[in-house]
Amino acid sequence: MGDHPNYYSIKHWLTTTNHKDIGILYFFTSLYFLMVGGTLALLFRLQLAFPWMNILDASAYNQAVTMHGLIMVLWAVSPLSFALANYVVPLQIGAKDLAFPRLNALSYWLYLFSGLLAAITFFIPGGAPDVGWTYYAPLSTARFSPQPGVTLAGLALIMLIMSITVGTINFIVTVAIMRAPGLGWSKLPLFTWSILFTVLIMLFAFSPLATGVLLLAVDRVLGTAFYTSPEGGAFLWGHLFWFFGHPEVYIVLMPALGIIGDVIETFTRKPLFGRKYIIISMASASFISFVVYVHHMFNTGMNPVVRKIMSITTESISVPFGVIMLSFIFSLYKARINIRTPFLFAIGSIFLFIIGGITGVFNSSIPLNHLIRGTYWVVAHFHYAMVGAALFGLLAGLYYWYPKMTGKMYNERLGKLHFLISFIGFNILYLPMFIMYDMPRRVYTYSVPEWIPLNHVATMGGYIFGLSFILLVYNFYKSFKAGPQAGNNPWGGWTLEWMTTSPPPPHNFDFEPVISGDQVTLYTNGGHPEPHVEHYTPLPMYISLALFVTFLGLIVSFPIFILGVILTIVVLGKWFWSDVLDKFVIPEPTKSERWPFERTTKVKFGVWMLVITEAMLFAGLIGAYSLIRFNMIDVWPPGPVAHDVRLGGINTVILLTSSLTAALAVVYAKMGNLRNVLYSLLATLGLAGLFMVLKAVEWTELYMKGFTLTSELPASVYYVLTGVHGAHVIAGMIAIVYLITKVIKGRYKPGVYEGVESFGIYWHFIDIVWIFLFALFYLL
Amino acid sequence: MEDANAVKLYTIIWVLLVGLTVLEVWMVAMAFPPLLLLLGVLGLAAIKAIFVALYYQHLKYDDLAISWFYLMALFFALLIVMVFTGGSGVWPPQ
Repeated sequence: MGDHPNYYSIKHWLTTTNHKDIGILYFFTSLYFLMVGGTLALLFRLQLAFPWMNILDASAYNQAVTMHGLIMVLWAVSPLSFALANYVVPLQIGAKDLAFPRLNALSYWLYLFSGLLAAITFFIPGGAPDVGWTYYAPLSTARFSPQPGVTLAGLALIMLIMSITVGTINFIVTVAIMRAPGLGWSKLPLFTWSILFTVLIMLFAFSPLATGVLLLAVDRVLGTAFYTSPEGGAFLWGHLFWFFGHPEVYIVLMPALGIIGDVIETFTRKPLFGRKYIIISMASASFISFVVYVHHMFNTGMNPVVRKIMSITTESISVPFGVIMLSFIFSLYKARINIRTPFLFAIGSIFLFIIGGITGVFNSSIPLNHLIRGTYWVVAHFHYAMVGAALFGLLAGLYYWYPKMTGKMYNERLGKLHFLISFIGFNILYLPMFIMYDMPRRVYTYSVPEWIPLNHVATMGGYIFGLSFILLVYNFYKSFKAGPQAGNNPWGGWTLEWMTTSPPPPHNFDFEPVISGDQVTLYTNGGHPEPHVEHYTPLPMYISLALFVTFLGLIVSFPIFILGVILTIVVLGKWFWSDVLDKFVIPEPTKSERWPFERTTKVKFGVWMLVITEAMLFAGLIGAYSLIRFNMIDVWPPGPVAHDVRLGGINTVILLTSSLTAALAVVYAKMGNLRNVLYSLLATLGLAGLFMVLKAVEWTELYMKGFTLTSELPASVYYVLTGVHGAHVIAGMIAIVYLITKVIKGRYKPGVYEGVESFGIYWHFIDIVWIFLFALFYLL
Repeated sequence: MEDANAVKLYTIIWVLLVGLTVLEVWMVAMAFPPLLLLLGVLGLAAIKAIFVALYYQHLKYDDLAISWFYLMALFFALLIVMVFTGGSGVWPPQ
C-alpha cells in the first residue's frame, strides 16, 4: 500500500481501488462474459436452424440455454452498466472516487470470481446447470437435478449477490452524500439518476433472491425439503425468484435510459423535454417493478384476487415508461441533431424498447398470458426489452464515453457501420420469434414445417448480430492504438465529466468543481487540488479468491473446502487488522452537497444500507415461514413447535440487554469515556456469547428429541431462520472484538463514536429480528 | 440529548422492552383466542421493534430520510409476507 505501481503493470490492475480502473476491469470482464454468453446463443441458434439438428443433444442444449440466460443477465449486461457507472458517476457528480474504494474493488473481484465459478460448471462431472436460468423448483432440487453443477452455480450466485450488495451500498452512499458543492438533486445528470434508481432496486431485490438460493443450497446440500414439499415448495421458489426476477429487467434497463437521456441532451444540443417527469417516471417505475412480479406466475393456480391486482399493476407500469419514451421523442423535435454513433444507438434503443414494451403489455392480460407463456413470443419480447433496449443503450454509452476514457476518438464510420449491422441483425433475429408465438421455447428441436424458415432466418440474424461486435472490438482497439486525440469535450457535453481532461487524472479533477445557479459553472480553487489518496491493496482480490476456493471445495473436495475456509479467515483477519491500524482511511467529504443526509456520515450510511439489505433477506425468510405455515395450517403442531417459551424468553431478555449495553457504549464514546466504552462492549460481547450458548443448548435438546433439520418442514424452517440469525449474531460478535481491539490499541480518540454507533445500528437490527422470531416460533 | 439523560432514557426503554416481553408471554399463558393472540403478540413485537429502532438505533435523532429507507423495507417485507401467504391460494385460512 502507498506505493504506486506502473499503470500498465499487472500489479496495478490486481491492486487498484481507483473507480476508473475498476470501471475498466468491469468493462473487459463483462465483455468476456458477453462473448461467452453470446457464443452459447450462437450454438443453440445453430441447433434450431433446422429440425432434428445434432449439434447439441437435449442435455447440452439445456445447459447452453441455462448458462446463456444466467451469464447474460447476471454477469454480462448488468455488469456492463456497472462498468460505465464506475467510470462515469463519480466524474458526473464531481467526486474524487466512490465512497468506499476498497469495497468497490472487492465488489469487482467477487463478481469476477463468481462468474468463473459459474463457468467452471461446464468442466465438472454432470456439466453445467440444465434447469433453465429461472432455476425453477422442484426441478432444481437434488431429487430431480442431482448434478453438482446446479449447486455450484447456485453458490456462484450467492457470491455474486455479495458483490452486488457491496456495490449497491457504495453507489447509494456516493451519490447521496458526495456530490460537488451546489450539485443539488435537480441538477444531477440523467445517467447518475438512472444508476441511483438501479442500485435502489438492487438494494431491495437481491436479498430475497439470496434467501431463495440459500434455501435451495440448504435443500441440496443438507437435505431439507423446502422446494420439494407439497406444502407450497414450487410456489415458494416462484415468489422468491420473481420478486427479484421482474425488477431485474429494470435493473438492466434503467442505466440505458439514463445514457439515452444524456446522449440526446448532448447531441440535440438542448435540454431534455420533460426532464423532471422523466425522473419522476423512473422513480415510479422502480417502485412499481416490485408489485408486478406475479404475472410470471399467472399459470400456477395463484389466488385469483392477487392475480387481478398484479394484472392491473403490470399494465400500469407501462405508463411511466410511456412518459419517458414520449419525452425522449419530443426532445428531438426541432433539434439541430448531431447524428453520431452514440446518438444512433440511443435512437435504436428507443425503437427497440417501444417494440419490447408494447409486446410486454400483452403479458399483463391473464387470458393472453395463458396462451403465450412459454412460447417464442415471450423470448422475443424480453429480448427486445433486455437486449435491444438495454444493450443498445449501453453501446450508446460506450461510444459516448470512449473518448473520455481513452483520450482517443474512435472511427466514426466503423461505429455507424456497427450500429447498422447490429440493428439489422438484431431485428432479423428476434422479429420472426413474434410470428413463432405457437412454438414452445424450451425444446431442443422441432418438426413443425411452418417453423423451419422462421428459425432459419432467426439463426442468420443471430450470426449477423453476434459478428457485428467484431467491428466494435476492432474499432476500439485500433482507435486506442492509433486514433486521433479526442480532446476534453469532443461532443460539447454539459455534464461535469466533460470539464476534466481525457482521460481524467487519478483524482478526477485538477480543480474543485463547484456549481452555482441554474447553469453549471465551475470555479477553481487556484489550481491547488486536494491530493487524492491513491490506495493499492491486494486484499479484495485475496478475499474473493479465498471464497472462490471455499465454494469450489464445497462441491469438489473437502480438503479444498477447508483450505478455502482457512484462507478466508486469514485474509479477513488481515483486512480487519489493517483497519485497526487505520491503514486505509478515506476521509469524510467536508464540502459536499448532501441534503437530506446532512447528519449521516458515510460509514453510518453504509451500515444503514446494509441493514436494509439484511431486512429484505429476513423478509424473504419470514415470507417462506409464513407461506409454509399457512399451507400446513392443518398439520402445523398446535401452539409452539416444541419450543421452550421460558428459554426463548430468557434469550430475548439477554439480547435486549445486549442492545442496552451497545447503546450505552455509544453514549460513553460521545462522552469520551473510553474505559466505559470498553466495559459496555465487553458486556455486549458476553451477552451475545451467552445468547449463542443457550441457542446451542436448545438446538441440542431439540435434536435429541428427534426434531432435526430434516425431520419435518417446521423443523427446517426453525433451524434455518434461527441459524441465519445466529450467524448474524456471530458476525456481530466479530465486529465487537474488532472494536474492542481498536479501543485497547488506543486507536479511538475520546469523542469519536462513529464506529461504535455504526456497529450499534447493526446490532440493534439483529435484536429487532429476534423480537419477531421469538413471537413467530415461541409464542404463536 | 444530554449524555446523562441518555443513560437514564435507554435504561427506561430497556425496562419497557422487558415488560412488553413479559406481557407477550403472559398472553400465551392466558390462552387468548388464536386471532387475538396473533394480533396481540405481533402488535407487541412491532411496538418493541419500533422502540429499539427509534431510541437504540437513533432513528428519532437521525436524518428523516434514513427512516424512509426503513419504511420502504418494511413495506416490501409486508408485501412479501402478504403475497406469499395470500398468493398461494390458502388465504383466508379455513
